[in-house]
Amino acid sequence: MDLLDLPATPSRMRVAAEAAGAPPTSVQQALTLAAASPASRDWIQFLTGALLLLGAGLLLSGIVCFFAFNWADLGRFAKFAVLQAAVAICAGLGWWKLSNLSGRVALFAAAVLVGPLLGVYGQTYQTGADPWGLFFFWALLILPWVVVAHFTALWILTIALLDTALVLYWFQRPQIEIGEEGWLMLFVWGAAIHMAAVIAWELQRRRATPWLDEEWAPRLLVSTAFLALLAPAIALVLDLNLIGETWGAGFVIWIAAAAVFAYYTRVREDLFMLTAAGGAIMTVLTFIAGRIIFKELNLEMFGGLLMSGILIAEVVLGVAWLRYMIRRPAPPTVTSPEGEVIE
Amino acid sequence: MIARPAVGEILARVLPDDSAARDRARAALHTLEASGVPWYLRLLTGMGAWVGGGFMLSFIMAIVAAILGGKVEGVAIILGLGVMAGAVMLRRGVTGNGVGAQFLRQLALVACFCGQMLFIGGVGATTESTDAAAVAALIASAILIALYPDRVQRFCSTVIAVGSLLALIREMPYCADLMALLMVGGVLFLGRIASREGTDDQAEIVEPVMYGLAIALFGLLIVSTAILMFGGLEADMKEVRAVLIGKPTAFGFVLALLWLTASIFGEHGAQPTAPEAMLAFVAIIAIGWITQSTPAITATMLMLVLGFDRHARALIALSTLFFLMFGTAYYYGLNLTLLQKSGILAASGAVCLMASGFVRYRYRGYQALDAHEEPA
Repeated sequence: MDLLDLPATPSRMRVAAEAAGAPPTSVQQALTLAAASPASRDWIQFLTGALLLLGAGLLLSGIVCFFAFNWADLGRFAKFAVLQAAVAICAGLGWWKLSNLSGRVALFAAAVLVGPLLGVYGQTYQTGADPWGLFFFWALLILPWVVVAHFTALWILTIALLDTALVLYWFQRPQIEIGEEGWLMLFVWGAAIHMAAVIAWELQRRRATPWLDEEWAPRLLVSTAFLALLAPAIALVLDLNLIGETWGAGFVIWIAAAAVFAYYTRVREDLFMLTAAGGAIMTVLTFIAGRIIFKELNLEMFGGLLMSGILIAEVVLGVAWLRYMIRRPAPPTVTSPEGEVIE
Repeated sequence: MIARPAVGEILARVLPDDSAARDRARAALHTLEASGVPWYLRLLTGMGAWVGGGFMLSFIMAIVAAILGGKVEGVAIILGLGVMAGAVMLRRGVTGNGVGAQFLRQLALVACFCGQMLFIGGVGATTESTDAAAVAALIASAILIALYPDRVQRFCSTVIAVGSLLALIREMPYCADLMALLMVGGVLFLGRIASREGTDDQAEIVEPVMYGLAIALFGLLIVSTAILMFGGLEADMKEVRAVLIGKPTAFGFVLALLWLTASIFGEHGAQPTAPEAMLAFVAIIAIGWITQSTPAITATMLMLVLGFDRHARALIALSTLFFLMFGTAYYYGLNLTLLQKSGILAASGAVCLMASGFVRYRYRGYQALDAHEEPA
């Protein structure tokens, strides 16, 4: 990447302009331009985009609340008709304007409305299905739209639906209560869903023209996956007797971190991902050190000093290593004639 | 959409085309980027320093207690001041980016947090007065913001200072309103005015203090909204009066948003009497009036607009998150049936969609223009 393509923050602009030999008046002019309010065109895009997203969100919330109220005066055929018409109109709008934000928002709305439609179906025919099934089949049914929409928010919605389905399933089917043996496996399965989604995201990103390219989404999923994996790992370190036969759950964080380190240093460099994995491992290491110092060695007074020193060393070495990893010369990548990246 | 113009683009506008000059600029940017620390690494170091500071504090207190017995309060004040002063000197004396320098920086940060806790706790325990501890926290935070050259410390000190000030004026009528308005004023001043043409040294203070004020404001609004939403006993309400915001805040937030909007219109050369500006003012007043039960909505809108104006992605992300939270609280708190709420939600959504369509249609000429280009 050409460093001159970086966003012009005042500090970058000052450094670049002064190094380029610009006179003080030009440096000041460059700083004023860098600190200026966005252009009118950008403000209009921001306003229309924000109003569109807010409007769609409010309208969908209204529809969901309406069907949650289960208004008795509205017959079942009318309910189905209203919902199916809304899904059809939104999907049609999405198909018509798929390349625009408005089209993607319409397809997102269609995907959201599938949920109330399944809910009304359950209310009307009393299918007796478990709530987890609603969310699971909701995610499954909208999957084709997720693939064609190329819209990050819709992708995240699917993951959120799968998460909800997993949590509901976990407390209904295996009937494991919080604190019972094996319940921490819920966090491992949740993390597995997120990691699988990130793998899918990374695979599509290798296309010549990726379908999704907003990096906040995989970063959010990796961060939440590591947060979930911290629960069984810390329980294992503290020997909370919650793990039982599924003690292996406490080790999954190490495997996940190794995979993240390997991928995001060798294949695609991403300091955020490394920081998420590094932060999680440092947290587990701190708990291990705490257990050894305060429980095994019983170092009461000097334990605090030792822990403080360990934390300083951990953070300094961790951050230095992370910064080193990201600043090494990039590994060479080869592109095939079709535009696919070859290792 | 949020992106700033590129460095090269601005350079081309202020300097004649000179490839050697651009190469020099690239080399200087390379050095600058190599020494930069992204926010998530700062978060990691900050969290590590807070926990490390807590352990160091426990060690110091245990040593002092072992030597002096139970009377540790007075010593804690002196030790706290000494540790803080040592941390400031150590941090200001460290140069370079090697592991050794990073170690000393982190040690100084941990010691600084520890000294701050010792000093504030010592003053509070010696005087048995919350007010005295709050004054101590306020003074220590102000000094550290000015003297300790670290963004994490400045951010944390700002949040501590806000909490201390609120604790200090908690008996005053409308203290939460005063704090909320002071914070929003501070964020506006730092974000819209002070951040513009300051030096890099000033930016090192302005940015963390601005984010500290924004987070403290959101924190106050969350607590206040949660108490108002879930209610409580009469006695409880009296106890938590210090964090409850009311009509003055709602009014002040609207005024602040009006000022910010007028200021942005002014920067774009539009008079406050221009139709666009008038329409924006009417919309802001209407939203402020409709959502007066949850003034936090106006506050998050203000932060969102300021974030976009300053190209501050973190402020935009925070504002969006809190906007969703406070929007949910507003609709949840409406004293209506679910059916009536669904109607209001759908109607307000339809109004937003129509407004989006209107703006797009009315200003369709702008869509074809390049960034920074205004229509004739």
